Amino acid sequence: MNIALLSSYTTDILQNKLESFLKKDFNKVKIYGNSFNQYTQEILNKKSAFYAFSPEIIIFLFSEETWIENPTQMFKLLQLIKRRLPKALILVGNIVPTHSQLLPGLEWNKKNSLSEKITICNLKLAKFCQNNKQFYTFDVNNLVLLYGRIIMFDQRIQYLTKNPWSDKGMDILSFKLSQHIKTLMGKRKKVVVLDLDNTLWGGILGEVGLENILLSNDGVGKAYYDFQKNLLKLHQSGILLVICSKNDEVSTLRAIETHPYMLIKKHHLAAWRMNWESKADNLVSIANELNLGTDSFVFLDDTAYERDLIRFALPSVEVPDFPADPSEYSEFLSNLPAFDTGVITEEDKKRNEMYQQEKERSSKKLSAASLEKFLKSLHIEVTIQKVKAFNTPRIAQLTQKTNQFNLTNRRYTDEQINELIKDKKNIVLGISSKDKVGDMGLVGVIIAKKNNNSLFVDTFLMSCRVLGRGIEETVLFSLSKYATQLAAFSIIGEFIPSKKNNLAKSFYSNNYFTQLEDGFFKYDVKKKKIKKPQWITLHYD
Amino acid sequence: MIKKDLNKAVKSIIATTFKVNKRDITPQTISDDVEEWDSLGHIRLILKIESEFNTKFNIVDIPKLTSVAAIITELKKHEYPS
Repeated sequence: MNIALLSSYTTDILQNKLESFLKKDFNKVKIYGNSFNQYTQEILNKKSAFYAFSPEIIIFLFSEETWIENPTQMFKLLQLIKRRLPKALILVGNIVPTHSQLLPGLEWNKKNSLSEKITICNLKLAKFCQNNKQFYTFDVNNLVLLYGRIIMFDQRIQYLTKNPWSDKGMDILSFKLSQHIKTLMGKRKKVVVLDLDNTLWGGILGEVGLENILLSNDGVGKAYYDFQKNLLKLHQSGILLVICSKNDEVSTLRAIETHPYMLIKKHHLAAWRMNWESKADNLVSIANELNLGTDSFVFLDDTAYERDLIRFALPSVEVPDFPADPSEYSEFLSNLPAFDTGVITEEDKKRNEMYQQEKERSSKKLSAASLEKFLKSLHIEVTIQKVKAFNTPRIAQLTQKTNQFNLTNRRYTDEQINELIKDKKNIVLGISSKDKVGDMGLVGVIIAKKNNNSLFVDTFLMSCRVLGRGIEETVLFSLSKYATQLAAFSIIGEFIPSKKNNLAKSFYSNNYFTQLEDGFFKYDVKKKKIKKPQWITLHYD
Repeated sequence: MIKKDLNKAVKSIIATTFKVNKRDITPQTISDDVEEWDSLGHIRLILKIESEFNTKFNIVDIPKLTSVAAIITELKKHEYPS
């Protein structure tokens, strides 16, 4: 790919930076820069090195003086390039004051100020690009507005090399240029994959219910509402919206369709997966369904675990660090380089229609071995602690508020837990977990009671944010150890269905328990079938 | 940072900027000894050192920093007073 960078200032360092950004995506990148102060001759002379280079993309970056002194001449040069290179795509940077202004307070209060001239010139430039198909405005102004003059410019470099930009400024400028070029060459990301809980709304729908999620047109809920508004704008620009979340599909779709401030509705979605499978598997199956490569995906999720999993399992997916504070979501999305573009192609516009019809779902699983490798890399540690009097309030609280992975939904008060731990026949366990990313604290509670020759599991609950990493199996494993210690031959588990705990329904039958009547399950301790997942380090406290 | 590390860091930045062997850069090296260390290369080098050491040189000093020794002396004035 041949790129010519025409400029009134020196661009050697800028060229180097641009090349290194483009090298990742294109095989042969060649960048041509005009000789200093020779751009007019090079454009006028048909036999110049500029035309001999036969550029496919031309970047036009000129200082404000050049434009302001003779705008007619500048437009003439653009017209000439247009005539001589009708196939080239031309990005024209708009004008930004690079020098500090004397008496800036006066700028808009006097006639013919520099600010006024620049504004008029930028307007003409924008119109010119809108009316000439191969031209695109490259909004340098907005970059300077976003990062500020102090960061973008460095007068020392201006004096020493006749280039106004700072090192950081050149990084920003060349990165943005590389993104525009990728779009022009058809490498724009096409799909944004979205999580739901704490991403499109605040709170966990399955726990707090439709009425209590944070999503509204005022207050904190508006942060999520505005984020959705921006996502819809992306959708209008041809980006496909996809949801991949760990929720119950039926109730979640109902929530999406009925919540008054939910802007993203079913008909905006090209595909969705609302289940408890690994998100890596879900992304592969979505890619198959949409018939797109995962390299056209951008993955937005508030949970660091999910982001790391995707980075590990599907490195071609772009996974930006998602802000922790929802008030930053909208600005984050606006500045996400993956989607920012100077152009919307016809293909972009049509893409959404193409995917309106539902497609058949196919899937290819992330192999168990590679998931295990990822889990190993997390260094998960589980600590199982016999509950003592001082930490009963936290245990009671967890029994009160956990709804999804809660097999029996028995609620206990602080006093009741205190009573339970006094009886030697009862086992009351608090489960904590941490990994290399962070300490998750208390994530589960087990209450079991020795009854004749068996151990009855009265309560088994886990916070749903840690499910699927082998922690619940580890807990079951240690429960079988306690059973042996207490000379119990079997473990009896129970599942009491509720509106919210459907995902825990098969937990016992998936883990070597035999189903009995009335929601009870039995495990034969002697058979020693339940093993601790080997990537987990287990501590007893 | 002790003197040896500062030396090492500067040498390594020079070597990567101008794509030369680290062993060929000594405290006595001056810009004329390195092919790519021309006036433009000099600015590239200065920008890299500034970002690596998180500092900023005075414009008056920049043109004088054309040897390993000069760069190290200047850096010591900035961040690492001996």
